[in-house]
Amino acid sequence: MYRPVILADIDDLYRNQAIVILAVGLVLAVLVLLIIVHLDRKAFKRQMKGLDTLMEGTVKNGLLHSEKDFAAAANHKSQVALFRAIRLTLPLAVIVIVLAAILGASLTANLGEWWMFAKFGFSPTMVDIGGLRLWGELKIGQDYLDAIAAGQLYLAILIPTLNLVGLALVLQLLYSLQGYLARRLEISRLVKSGWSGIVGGEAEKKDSEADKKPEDTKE
Amino acid sequence: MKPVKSLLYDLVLVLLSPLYLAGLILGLPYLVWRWTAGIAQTARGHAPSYETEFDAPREYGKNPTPQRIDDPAPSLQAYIRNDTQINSTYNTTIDNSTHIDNSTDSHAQTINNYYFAGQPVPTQEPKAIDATVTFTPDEATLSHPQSPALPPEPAPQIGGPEQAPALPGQVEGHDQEVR
Repeated sequence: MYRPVILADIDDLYRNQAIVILAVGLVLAVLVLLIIVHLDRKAFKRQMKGLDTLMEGTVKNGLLHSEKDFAAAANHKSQVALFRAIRLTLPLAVIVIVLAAILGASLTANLGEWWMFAKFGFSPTMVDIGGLRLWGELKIGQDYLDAIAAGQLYLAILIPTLNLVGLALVLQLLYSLQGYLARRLEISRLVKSGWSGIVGGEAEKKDSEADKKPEDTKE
Repeated sequence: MKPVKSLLYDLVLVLLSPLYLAGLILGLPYLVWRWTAGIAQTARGHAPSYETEFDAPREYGKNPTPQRIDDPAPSLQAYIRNDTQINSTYNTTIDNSTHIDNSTDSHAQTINNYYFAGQPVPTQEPKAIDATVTFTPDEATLSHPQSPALPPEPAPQIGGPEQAPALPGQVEGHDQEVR
């Protein structure tokens, strides 16, 4: 007769599993953050260069006579660009957040139930290791499955959808704000370094030439 | 070496990213203020536009044309409003009912005073004013009714009324319109 050999009790199993989950989670989190930060740095540079597009026609006109003129025109255009970027997003975000709050309050019994639907029923088994409460086992909670079986599938779809849409809109707002900051930085840089070169991408050419290594330029 | 530097830079930014995110979130009220200001402008009929005083009017399918440098200077009429003061001594204004007493003040002097009151000096010969101005001739003009117009002087330079150019049609007769 087959008798399984138990190498460790269930608590030890969860404990080991929690350490693995923590390590993998940390590595994944750092990797994802690295990718996001790297992409955001590129986006920031692109947003800085967006000022060139805004100001190229004005500089070509030849009507700017001083750094003060350039800063005034660039700041005005940057503010208009910010307004146009958030013109629809901001009210939409407010509407979605208010709607999510109203629906969440009216359709769920309490905050705990709303949170259960918001996290897709994710309910890990918690393990205490050295005072830290870690995830020992990743699983979907039985309450969530029961609620769906009881006909609350619409909540399981509606609540996370509204949350995700609201989050996306808020991120879009933050991205627009970052664009405004990037343009402000670019304005102050161009005021110091000279703004006439932004026509025809000459400033970009200068930047790329400056970035080249000395040995590259010798060749 | 460059990718390693970039990776280290990214790692530092990862550590700083919560602070950066918090800073951006703190900037959200500015977005609300900017949006409110923009909507208020739109409601007043002046929707925020990219156009600035440094942009030339754009025609469809054409490049913007410079105005301030290459275009002809605007005529004197463009600078004169009904409440424009053209003579600090007599505090006169010019409009359709303006009357300049030629016996006490040269109208050329009066109009040239205008140029040196801080207004932009046109680079080309200004056009005539589209306003009826009547002059009361002094005795000298009455005794020489056929006296020729003042000879043209060099282009106006900031420095004083005595260096100002004469406008076409100045001092040409009695009760004459400057047009």
